[in-house]
Amino acid sequence: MANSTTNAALIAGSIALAISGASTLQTAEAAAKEKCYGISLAGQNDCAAGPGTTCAGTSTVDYQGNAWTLVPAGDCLKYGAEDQVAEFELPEDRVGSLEQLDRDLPTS
Amino acid sequence: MLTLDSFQHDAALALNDPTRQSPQNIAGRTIEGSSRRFNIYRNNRAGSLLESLQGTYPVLHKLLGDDFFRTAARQYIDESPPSGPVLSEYGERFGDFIQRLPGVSKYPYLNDVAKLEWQRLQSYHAADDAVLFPAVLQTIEPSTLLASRFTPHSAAHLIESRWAIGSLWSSTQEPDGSQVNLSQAENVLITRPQFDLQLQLVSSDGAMFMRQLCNGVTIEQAATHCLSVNANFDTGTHLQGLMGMGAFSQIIH
Repeated sequence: MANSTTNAALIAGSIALAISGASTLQTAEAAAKEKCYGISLAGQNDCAAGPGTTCAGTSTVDYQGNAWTLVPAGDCLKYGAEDQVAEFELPEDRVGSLEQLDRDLPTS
Repeated sequence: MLTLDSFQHDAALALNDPTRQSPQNIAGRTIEGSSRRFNIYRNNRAGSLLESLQGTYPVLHKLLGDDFFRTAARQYIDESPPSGPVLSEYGERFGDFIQRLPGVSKYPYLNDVAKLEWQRLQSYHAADDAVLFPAVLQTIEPSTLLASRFTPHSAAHLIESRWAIGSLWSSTQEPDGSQVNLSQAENVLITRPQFDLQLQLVSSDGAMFMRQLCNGVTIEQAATHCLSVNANFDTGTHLQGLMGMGAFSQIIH
């Protein structure tokens, strides 16, 4: 019982402290930015790759029949690359997915 | 006798399944011509669903590459056709589908990225609730406040991931996004306080508090739970932070 009273007092005190600074309540945005790390928000974009980049460059094969042996286009997934833990490592070469494609093809 | 009902039924089946014959009784200059013309509708259907998935999952599209994405999307469309006419409600399980594909197991975060994208879309279309801002806390007696509960804002949604999906999402919004250490767990709070979606990373403490409050317990109960997990849990900071982002729409005494 004493414990829950202590907790209630602690919680109430913490809230009181947070809201006592009137300046922190001025705008929602201010509060949000103060307490959190913002993630920039921009318009949705499509695959940035155009002709000559890797996203477009992998399209030399008609994937229809053997689609599920593919790995995702390597360079589009640059985020997991190199210095990441082993689980994220892409095939040694950035064109690795194309090489894997050959290897993994069903032998029909 | 041909009824409108049976014709629509046949036409819908044939639209969804290219291996079926085009429906009888459709007119064209020639029989072959009518079949070819029907294929235009098939193509329009597949094309619009593909574009819809691409519009819903732009980051997934970027990460997977156009060819892989389109191939996967076509397969998904075949396996999981829409159950309703609203495109913004189509594709919820696309991330699960992607994650199950061979070759994707190396990228275990993709499903969580998909969840983030899906939830952004749902939050975008959520009801225009008024946001409960932290200033309201000053108007409530402390004892009343502790016994109060929150109603989550319709557009507020928390995604807890083992991977750095918020940072990854963010980095894809720029042409030369920075490298992301994906193995860092992140909690992403999506809100829409006014018209624009906001994404914020919240700490594990903040996420735990949010989850508690969304379960409908009182502020005191939620905070007590968090304090039992982390004795340094700072109720005031997190309450104010979550409210400031637009996580709640109502407080109930």
